Amino acid sequence: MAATRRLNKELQDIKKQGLEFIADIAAKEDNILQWKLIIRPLMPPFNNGAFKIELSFPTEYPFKPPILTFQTPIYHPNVDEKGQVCLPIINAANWKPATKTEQVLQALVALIHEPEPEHPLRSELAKEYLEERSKFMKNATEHTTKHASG
Amino acid sequence: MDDDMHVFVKFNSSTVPISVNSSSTVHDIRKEISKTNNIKTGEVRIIFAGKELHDHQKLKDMDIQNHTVVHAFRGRHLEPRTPLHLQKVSTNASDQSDKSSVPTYFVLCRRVCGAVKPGKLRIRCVGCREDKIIVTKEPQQWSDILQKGVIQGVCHTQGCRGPQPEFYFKCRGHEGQDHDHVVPLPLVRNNFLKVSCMTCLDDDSNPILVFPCPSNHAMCVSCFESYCLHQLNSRQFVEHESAGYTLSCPGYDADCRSAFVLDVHHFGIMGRENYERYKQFGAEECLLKMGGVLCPGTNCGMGIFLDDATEQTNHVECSECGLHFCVLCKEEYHGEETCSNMLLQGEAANSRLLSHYAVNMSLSKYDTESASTIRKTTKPCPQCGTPIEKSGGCMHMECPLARCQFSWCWICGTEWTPDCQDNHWFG
Repeated sequence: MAATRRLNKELQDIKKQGLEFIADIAAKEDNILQWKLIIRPLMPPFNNGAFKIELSFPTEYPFKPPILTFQTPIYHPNVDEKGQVCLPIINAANWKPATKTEQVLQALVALIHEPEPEHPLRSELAKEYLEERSKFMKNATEHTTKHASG
Repeated sequence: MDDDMHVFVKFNSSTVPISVNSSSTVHDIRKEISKTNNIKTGEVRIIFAGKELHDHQKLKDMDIQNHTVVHAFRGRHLEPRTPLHLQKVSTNASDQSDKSSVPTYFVLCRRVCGAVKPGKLRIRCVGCREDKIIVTKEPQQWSDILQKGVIQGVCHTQGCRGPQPEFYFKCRGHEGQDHDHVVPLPLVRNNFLKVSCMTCLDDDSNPILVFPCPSNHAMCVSCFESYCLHQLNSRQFVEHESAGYTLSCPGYDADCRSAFVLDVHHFGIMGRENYERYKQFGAEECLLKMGGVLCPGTNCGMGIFLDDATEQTNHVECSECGLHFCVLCKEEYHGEETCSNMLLQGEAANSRLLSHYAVNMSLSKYDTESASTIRKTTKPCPQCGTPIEKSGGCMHMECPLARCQFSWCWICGTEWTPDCQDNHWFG
């Protein structure tokens, strides 16, 4: 199966590469279609947090995109309360079979670092981010310490 | 190559086997023909694969193997002054038969091998259908052999003299008969450069299918099969003006989107059954695009074009299964009453639109339950009516159907507007 072969290779490559913002990346209980990992953002207000992420790959991968969810709450305009994130690179309409998971994770970290308040999933946070940046930074830092310190 | 093998020589409408071995040359065949037919060696000419053969050429270099058929005829044979290196004669002097680095054509052998196999190019005369023709120019590219009339030839069958050669392919995977022709796959090539497959990332797949985009993105043949199947099942093939129902390179570059597979025989890689589905889907999409409808009758799916009378009444009788149905709701015809689907809303709207894809519904005994689940979990695309499921994300929907791609709002059920974005982008 193309999905298994490819995901094994991708997982190996990511581990070998040792990206500084990724920790504990592994497939779940020998199911190569389910990955979990921890993202450690490098920039404030999230740089003291460790966010658990789950990646779920369909059996049709890489012809269909993976689904990415936050298991740790994050105070971010582009991630909703259920941990869903609107990441254009894994949107079904934009998805390309040649897109690698490493690129998806890079795009995710870029979004965490630089929120896109013009495409929010939580409009109140987007508003706060745009209009009261210092309040947003303070709330996000507190939220990170409370939910994602590790 | 076996040391002891037979080449079949067609001479004067009879075919004789001639024993040869791995070091035999064309001269050996000419000598044998001259002996058995009592003519001078200088009067025997040999044609194989559109070329006249000459004495110094070794049979194995010319790809002449056990049971290969060559044509001989009487005429003055002139040996060229400088030895001709026709065909794929070894460029590095080594006589070792190391064929691993020699490019090959690939074909789809549907009937015998059921797989993509290396193939060999053969040439025959359009007039007499014999391989006794010599081409006047060598083909430089695929279009030279796929388009008729680019390359001319001289046929040496008596009384024919046809100027028109025809190129065809045989499968190397099995020993074939004379007329056992197979389809060439121009996009499938040897992977000498160890290009990695854009799908499974393997770099030792051979052969690979190379898309016609500037970056030459490639996929191994089994990934191409999965790609086609996935796109077929989600109706993502698109209509191309010259190629028909096809796919483009799934790569990133802007040019990839217009790099279409122009020879649709490549889709035969999906296997016979799926290739039939591919053809049916293509025909259905074409019919729907031209304003036709598919009969919603169980197990029918007949394509019907609407006439003027139907445009007025919306009443169609299927000529195949006899069902009377309404063009708008695709339910059994309900008389002159206004069709409940004029407003495109509610459950009825869904059922109308479901029946676009009602073909072979009876294959599933869970049909009714499936239909009701689809009704519950989907909303129809406001433009084409295809039932769409929202699996997450925001309210901005884009119809996944390749021929539609309508941008709409999940809440309003109408075209996506800036108002939707302001008021309920994410619910």
